[in-house]
Amino acid sequence: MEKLDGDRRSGSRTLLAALFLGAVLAFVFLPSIARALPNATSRIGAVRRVIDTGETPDLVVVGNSVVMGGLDVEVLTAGSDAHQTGWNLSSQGQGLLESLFIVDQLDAGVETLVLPVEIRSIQDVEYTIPSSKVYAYELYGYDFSPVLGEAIRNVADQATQDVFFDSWIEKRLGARSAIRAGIDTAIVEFFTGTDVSEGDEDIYFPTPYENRLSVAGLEARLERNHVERVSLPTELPRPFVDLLKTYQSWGEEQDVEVVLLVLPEHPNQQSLSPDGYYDALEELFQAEADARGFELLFPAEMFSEPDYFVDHIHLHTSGAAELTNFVMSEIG
Amino acid sequence: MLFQTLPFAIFFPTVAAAYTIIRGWNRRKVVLLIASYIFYMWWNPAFILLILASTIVDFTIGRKMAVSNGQVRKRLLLASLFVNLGFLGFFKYAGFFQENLLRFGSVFGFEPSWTQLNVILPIGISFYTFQTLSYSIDVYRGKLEPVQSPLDFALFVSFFPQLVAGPIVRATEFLPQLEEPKAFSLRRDALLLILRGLVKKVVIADGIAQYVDVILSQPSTWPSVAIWLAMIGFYIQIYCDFSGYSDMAIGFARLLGFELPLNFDRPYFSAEPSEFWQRWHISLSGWLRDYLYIPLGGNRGSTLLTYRNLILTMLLGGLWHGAGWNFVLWGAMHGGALAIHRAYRQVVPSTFRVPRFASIIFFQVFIVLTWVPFRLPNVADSTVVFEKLLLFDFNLSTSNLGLGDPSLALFTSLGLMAAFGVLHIAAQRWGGLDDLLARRSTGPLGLAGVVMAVIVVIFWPTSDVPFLYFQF
Repeated sequence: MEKLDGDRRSGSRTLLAALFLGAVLAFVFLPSIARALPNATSRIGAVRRVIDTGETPDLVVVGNSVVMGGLDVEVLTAGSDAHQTGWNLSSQGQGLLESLFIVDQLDAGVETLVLPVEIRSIQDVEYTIPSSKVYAYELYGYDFSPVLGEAIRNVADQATQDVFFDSWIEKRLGARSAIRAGIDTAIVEFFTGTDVSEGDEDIYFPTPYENRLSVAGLEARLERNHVERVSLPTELPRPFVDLLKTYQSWGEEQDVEVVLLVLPEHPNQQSLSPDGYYDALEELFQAEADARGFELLFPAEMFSEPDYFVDHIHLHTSGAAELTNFVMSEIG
Repeated sequence: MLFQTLPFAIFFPTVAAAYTIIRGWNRRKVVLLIASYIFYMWWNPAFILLILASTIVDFTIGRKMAVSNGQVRKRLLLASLFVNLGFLGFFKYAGFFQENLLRFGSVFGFEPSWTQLNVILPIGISFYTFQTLSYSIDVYRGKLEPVQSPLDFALFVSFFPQLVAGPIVRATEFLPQLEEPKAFSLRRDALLLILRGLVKKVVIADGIAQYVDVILSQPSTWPSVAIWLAMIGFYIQIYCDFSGYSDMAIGFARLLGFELPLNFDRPYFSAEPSEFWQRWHISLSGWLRDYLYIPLGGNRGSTLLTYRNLILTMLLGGLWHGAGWNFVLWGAMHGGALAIHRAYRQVVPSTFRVPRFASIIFFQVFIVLTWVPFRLPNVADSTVVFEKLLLFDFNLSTSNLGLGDPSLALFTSLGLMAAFGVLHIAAQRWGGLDDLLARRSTGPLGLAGVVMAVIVVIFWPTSDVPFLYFQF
């Protein structure tokens, strides 16, 4: 009986030691595993590597997946007199607040920053950064400056603040969210033969969209994402204005011209907006851009045909070409 | 304080150390009582008053009942029921009652300007109320001698491993254990049970929840196949979430030298409703059987009365889970199934019945359907989900499944569901993985420990996810 008790205790100690060892191993190797797996945040790593080259382009474009497939910066700079070189540093789901993580890393010398804005996002999405993204910025070695911290404190929702101000250990452990997403992505890639990180290294036109969604798929997306607007806008959200102020300070400090680009909306969403909606909104944006010293581009109603889109928000390459030409003609 | 959080990782070793260092069984019980009160007060210190009130009332009533007879004894029992059910009724059902009263009144044009009641639900109240009620009823029935030690009774009411989400422990199961001195023991079986619960909770339940929550937040926009996957996901999630908590509760209690009753016995291998309730949340179903179904008459009356008793018991069982019509519907589905299955057994001879394997499949599909109102309190959402489950739309486009959206983690969720299926079948056939490991030598045990730790750390959610049954 005593021997049995002794065995049990020794087995328990072995088990506890093994659990501890496993936890330590996981903690040590989490970032390496996360970086090795393909995942939606690997673009953040690619952008970091581009910034680390030390080169300084004349023009930088940030933004989300709409911009990844909506602006061809190579074409934009090729036809421009004012900008010889440019980078498209947009990434999946990168809102205005998240773009600060990238803008904050840029070396002095950039002449123009294009800040694209989605109308549907300025109410809330722009101020939420998924924890997996914050962890990814830590994972890929971004520096979190006091300016960024201040903006997060002023503008971000509580969940984003909690993650941003987490301890180093928590942020390191956060790499596990990238691993889970990475496992999923690897399986998707295996079964579909796709490469989700394709275009990650592209700093001009990362993801041109060619394939339109099926009719049924598009209908579901339209229903899920487009909302009916019942009244005219009377003011821009306070956090949005606060965020623009941060960009204004950054632009003045770095001597960078900031261009606010309001992205085109799908015709279906346009039809769900009351008459005069876009005029009223443009007036509000213009007043804000004037107050901040920004240039405003407002092609929100640019497309009246759904064929310029591949789904409810993303532009087809034909739409991207039109938008690129429009921006080029406006900013020179 | 959740079992899987840092505060508990500090709390439990501290309690274990104090429990080990301090000499004398009564002093150790005091340590456990203080620890239990701290554990409970972690959420909301004020609600400890409820536990104290319940403890004092039932302890006093129990002792008085022992020296009373006839009507006095009955009145004492009624007083205990009044106090315990009064607390439960106010904190859990007052808002629901008021809301429905107003809705009913509005039909007749009665619309008073009452302030909406915003009563905070004290965590675990449904669990410890049933424990104290079982004590009073057992003493009244003469099945149990009233406990003489207030310390023992207070510890029975508030023992922290099972205080907030069960298993619901009967006084007859717990109080005798307090008579023999206990000590902390680093038992391998207890550690493996805790590890099993942790894997169920943080790896499987929380992992699958990522897909389930997104799909069921907007069910009208997803096709039938996604809804089926989400509901099967929830079917696994709720089992792993709740049984994972029970496993950990039993494991922590075992480390302290106590045995808590089994709460789950592979319920998803049940082929019929009565078998399911002998395997799912066993401590609650046993409680409902002994303190509600049998006193209502059980199966001692006519067939119709038996059906009534079954349905009534399950309706109240549904209401125990939460103050909402969705829980009533959930209870009604189970009560109805129990009654229909009873009728089926009486009408169809055993030689003509469906084979067991087919019965398991058929009945488990029904269980998936019962989780619809349980998961979705909103009637409109429930209706949509039922419609999509039952009227399959054959929209099989992969883009509508969430494929390619990493935030949904579709394949990881599917993988976890498959892993659960394999482990569940293996456990039914060869016994649980923890049982197998408990018999292994230290080498394989150590290797398994390293692998499990790596898996748990990698899959651990980046934010703490409370147990689903905490809301009850």
